Amino acid sequence: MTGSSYLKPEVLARAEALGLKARRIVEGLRVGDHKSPYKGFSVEFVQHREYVPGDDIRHIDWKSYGRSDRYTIKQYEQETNFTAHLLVDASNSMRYGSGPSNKLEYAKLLAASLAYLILRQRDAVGLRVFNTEVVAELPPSSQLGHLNSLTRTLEEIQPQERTAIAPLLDRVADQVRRRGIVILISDCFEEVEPLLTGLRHLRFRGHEVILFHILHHDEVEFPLDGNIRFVALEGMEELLTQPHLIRPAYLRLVQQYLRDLRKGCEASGVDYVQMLTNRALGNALAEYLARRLQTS
Amino acid sequence: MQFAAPMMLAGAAAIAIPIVLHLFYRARYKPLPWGPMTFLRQAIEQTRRRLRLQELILLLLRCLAIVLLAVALARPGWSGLTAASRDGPVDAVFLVDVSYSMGAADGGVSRLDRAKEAARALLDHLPAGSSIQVVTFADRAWLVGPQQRFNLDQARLLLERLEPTALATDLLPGLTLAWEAAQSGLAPAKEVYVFTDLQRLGLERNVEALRAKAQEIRNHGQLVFVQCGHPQRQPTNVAIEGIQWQGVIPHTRTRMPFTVILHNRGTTPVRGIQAAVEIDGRAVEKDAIQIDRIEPGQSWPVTLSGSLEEPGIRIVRAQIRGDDLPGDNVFYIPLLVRDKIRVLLVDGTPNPDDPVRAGDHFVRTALNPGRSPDHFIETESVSATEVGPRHLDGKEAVYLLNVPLRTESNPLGGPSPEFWDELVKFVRNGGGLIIAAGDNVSPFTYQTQLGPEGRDLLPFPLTGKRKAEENAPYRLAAPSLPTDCFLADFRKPGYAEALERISLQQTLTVDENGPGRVLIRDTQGQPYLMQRHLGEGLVLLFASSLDESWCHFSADPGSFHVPMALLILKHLTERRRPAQMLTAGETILWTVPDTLNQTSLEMLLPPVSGEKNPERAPLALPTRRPGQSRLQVQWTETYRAGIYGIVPQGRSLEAAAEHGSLFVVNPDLRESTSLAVATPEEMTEWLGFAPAIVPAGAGETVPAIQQLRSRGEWTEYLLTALLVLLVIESAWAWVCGRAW
Repeated sequence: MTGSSYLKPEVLARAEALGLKARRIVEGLRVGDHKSPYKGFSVEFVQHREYVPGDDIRHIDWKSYGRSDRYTIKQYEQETNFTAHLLVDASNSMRYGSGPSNKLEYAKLLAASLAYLILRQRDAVGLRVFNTEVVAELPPSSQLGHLNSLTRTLEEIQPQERTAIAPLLDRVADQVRRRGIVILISDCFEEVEPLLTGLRHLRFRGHEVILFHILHHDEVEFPLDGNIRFVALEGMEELLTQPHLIRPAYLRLVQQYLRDLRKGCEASGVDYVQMLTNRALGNALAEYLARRLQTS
Repeated sequence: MQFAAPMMLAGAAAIAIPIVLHLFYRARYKPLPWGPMTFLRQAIEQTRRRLRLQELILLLLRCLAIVLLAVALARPGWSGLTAASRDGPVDAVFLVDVSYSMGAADGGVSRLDRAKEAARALLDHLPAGSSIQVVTFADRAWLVGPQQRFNLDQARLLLERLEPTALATDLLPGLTLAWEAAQSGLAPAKEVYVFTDLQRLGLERNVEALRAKAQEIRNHGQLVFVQCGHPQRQPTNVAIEGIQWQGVIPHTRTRMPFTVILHNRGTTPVRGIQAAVEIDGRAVEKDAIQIDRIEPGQSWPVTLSGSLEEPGIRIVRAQIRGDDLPGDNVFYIPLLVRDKIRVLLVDGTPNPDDPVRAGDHFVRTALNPGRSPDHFIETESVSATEVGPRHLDGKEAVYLLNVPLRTESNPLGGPSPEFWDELVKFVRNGGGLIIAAGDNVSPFTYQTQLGPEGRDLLPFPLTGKRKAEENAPYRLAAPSLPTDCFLADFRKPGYAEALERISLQQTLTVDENGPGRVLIRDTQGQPYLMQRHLGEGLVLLFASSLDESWCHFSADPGSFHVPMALLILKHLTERRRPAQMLTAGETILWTVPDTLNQTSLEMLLPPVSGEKNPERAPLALPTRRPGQSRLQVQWTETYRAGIYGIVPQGRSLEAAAEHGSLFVVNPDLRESTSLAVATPEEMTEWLGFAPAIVPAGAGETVPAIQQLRSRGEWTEYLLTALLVLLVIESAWAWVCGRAW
């Protein structure tokens, strides 16, 4: 697959129309479509607040001082560009599925599509591909030509190793000072609580976090039959079973996991988006963006 | 428990199939790379115990199903008969009742024919490779064949030839022989089929032994009773119980009345019975006599008379028609027809001038009242001093009437010693001797010369004489006559009075310690008439005279001495029976005359059904043992009613008459005493278990036997259980979510 092949016209057409708008205020390097969290000299006045030492004295509202004899600061909302950080899981578990339903391919397509949309909005986007480590990284850029680098990097991804999301999120939270949008694309097959801790860490840093949970239909519905030797994609473990015999127990566990993850995300202010690879990406993405617009 | 198809049990090895499949399917797991192993592992752990239990139950159900199928195909069963012999070869024995009750034609066809039909049908449905032995039984049993026990065609032929006998039924010997025949085969399964009318008499004779034998058969094989009698209809039956000829002594030139005693032995009245009598195969009367109705239990005498044309042994045969049981509708008696009976009267007090006063007057007139020369009893009177050995020629009885004996003082006063010697031989060879007392009879002389120390002719030792008072003569006592005595008629009213009218003035006295028997005593208990067997002959001794000297015969109009003389003569002549009368089943015993002991002999048997000439069977003479004076042959197979005769090879029955080897065999009337059929409850009580009883008939027996064969099987139940098990297994598999 070439880099441009991840930019499906039908996906992009629908997603572009909807745009990707940060629901929250993001920090941008330049004026854009997004509200800046930096209240100051921008167009729209928001509020006054009391001066505290350390505030730039340029922002003191002297008129207000004259009226009230107190130092107050004028605050404005600022339209600004945001920086999105795409974190793509390239562990072995993402290898599951064949053709368009392959999770990693689906994740690559999603990442490419999001990158394109972000760049088209003149926002910056960066990329980190990871498994237990970060195996590839592109710093954020708002240049449209950055898209080629992104797609090339995505194309070169080879899944390997296990997933280790939580440490990665901690690292990202520590490394990315400026608030932005962190977009995690992963199957998240690891313990929920460490994962949520990582996500909360990002949120604590002020980032908007979107979790695209890439799942294969088989992993959720478990429609398998016959005698199957399940070979772990991550590790050496093998399990022999007849899936239909354990389906109820499996589904119960998976649903519990998804429920826990979803609730944890909601509680942490993380956008949780479940993406099943058997569903057309365009539809899924458009649906999410539409919902995002409605709630912004 | 037995199995009809034990090889099928090997199918139980198929129990390995589900196990192998189980293992095989375990091995056939296709690999699938998988991400969320954690959930999978947890799901497996959560369900592992439940799945293992389900799997184990399922495996057990399937193994059980295989075992059930194998056992069902092996067709297990309880009873020995059914289980082993449903399809495999059997050693079958057909035990056919040939007692004459099987000849009863109840329902239009005889019971034996019904048995044959059922036997043929069963024969056609024996499992392949089976053997057959036919055994018949009545009061004994015969192994009929076939010689090659696998030759079913020969068995069919033998069955066709079976005829009812004249014998009664006894199941025990039949069962014994049938079981021996069954055991001689090599097949593991034994089946004994008893084709019988289940007549109660045949079962209850020896219940204990019968029960033991039946249970022995049941424990090792199959015992099936094929009921050959009509289920509803009781056969009508009138039997001939005997033929009595009327008159003193059968003789030529006269018509002899024969009374045939009929008896309705059935449970229903019988109408239109026709009775006929034949003498030597010729009907005595033109038409048979028809009896309108004989009630159950009623005896009905029918009298027919026939002329006796020729002297010799004549066979009188009575036959009736009109009931359902022909076996007892015939009866035979032999009749010795005399032309003349010659009697020698040795008179101790002859009176040629006035025969009425002679000592032989009363006896002579009693034996030939009309003094007719054509009378069949011919008397020859000779004085005691003139009688000699030649006078005994042709005589059958000799009267010694007040005969004196020679003594030293009177050396010519009586018969010569030669006469006495010949007289002893005469008696020992079967002649009759009647000694009457009188004044010439000296007890001492008689005792000395004719007693044990002399010629040993007297029944008892003589001890003397006694004389009655003038006005108190001795009287005879009719009750003193034994009931089994040939003079027992004198106990009857009329005769008894005549007997007791006789008054005796004198009598001899005897010591009753002797070889004789007292037939008549007087009122004081003293013997009047005594008898003694000597050789083949008989000696009678009157203690008083047979004339007017010691008793008053003239006071009696002849009602005593005439019948007395005739009865004595009848008794003496009857003792020489023309032929032995036997009941079917009894053994013929015959002493071979010296003239024939080097001759090949044959037994002439009554002709078989449809034949006229008698059947011939070689007769082996036994080896003479040391010290044995004469040979004796025996014949036990008297199972047909009719005339039997032992003759030199190639001779006819007339030769048997000449040699005294003629035998008349009549049906065993015990058989028709009651034709009642044993009920299943009685059979159960007698045999100790509920026997299998199936109806006879081609259309009924085979299905009943087939039903019987499958009755003891568990196959149906096992297959049903298998079906239920498979349903349970399927339901369980569905619950467990398993196709396999």
